[in-house]
Amino acid sequence: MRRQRGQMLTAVAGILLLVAFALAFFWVPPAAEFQRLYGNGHIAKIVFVHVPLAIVSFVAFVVAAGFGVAYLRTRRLRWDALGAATIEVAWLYAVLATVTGAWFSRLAWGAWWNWDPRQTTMFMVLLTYTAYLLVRGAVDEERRASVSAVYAILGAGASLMLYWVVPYLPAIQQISLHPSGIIARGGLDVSYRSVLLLSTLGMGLLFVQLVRLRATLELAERQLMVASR
Amino acid sequence: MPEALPFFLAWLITWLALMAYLWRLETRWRAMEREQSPEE
Repeated sequence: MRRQRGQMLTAVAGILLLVAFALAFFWVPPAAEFQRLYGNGHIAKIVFVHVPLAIVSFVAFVVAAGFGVAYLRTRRLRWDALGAATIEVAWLYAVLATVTGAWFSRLAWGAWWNWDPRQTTMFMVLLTYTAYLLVRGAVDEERRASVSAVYAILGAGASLMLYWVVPYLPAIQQISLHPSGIIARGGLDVSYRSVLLLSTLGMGLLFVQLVRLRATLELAERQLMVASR
Repeated sequence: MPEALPFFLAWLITWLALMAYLWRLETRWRAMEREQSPEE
């Protein structure tokens, strides 16, 4: 039953993402402002991949902090497994957001990486959670869950600053080339909003399924380890 | 439509990476199920 629900979730997410892709490819027009600024209006469609990945990863880092709090309060390993799984999958999403961002940077600004404030803050988020994964692997088993929970809570605070505070400081916005301003002031066609919503939903559902699977695996592996002792 | 190629590639890379990760998890899960099931 549980497995069937998981397969259903994967199928729905897959369909949503394929529909979003088809709409983006065949229906959404190239963005006029991107055409004027970068010479190719179609590169604006990268937002359908890049933005959902970034949004889902940020929300997930905050949710993982919630799992951390739940673990510290109850000491139930289920919360620890969920927290670790959430961060692992969110880390993958953040890596993909960085890669697609670098691809946009190459097409729009001529360089894969130019230390734009957005790229730099995303890089710092990645470093923060790469360290989480390394610390979790290195800490002994008795303290692993507690250390991970505390790290997840502190990491969420850092993510909040790096995703939503630093990039929006006036001094940073002046020097940033990131096109979020164009999107924020409605510089994209209405069709962009609906496809972005669809794509974010698909990415979100797929995320939930990946976390379910990863957390179940984590718990099962732990049970096997305990049983084999 | 060569102008749309960058978007197509961004989508393809993301799709392949996510599906590869899903496949890896499923494979590990199936291997664990086999390990846990009683030998026939």
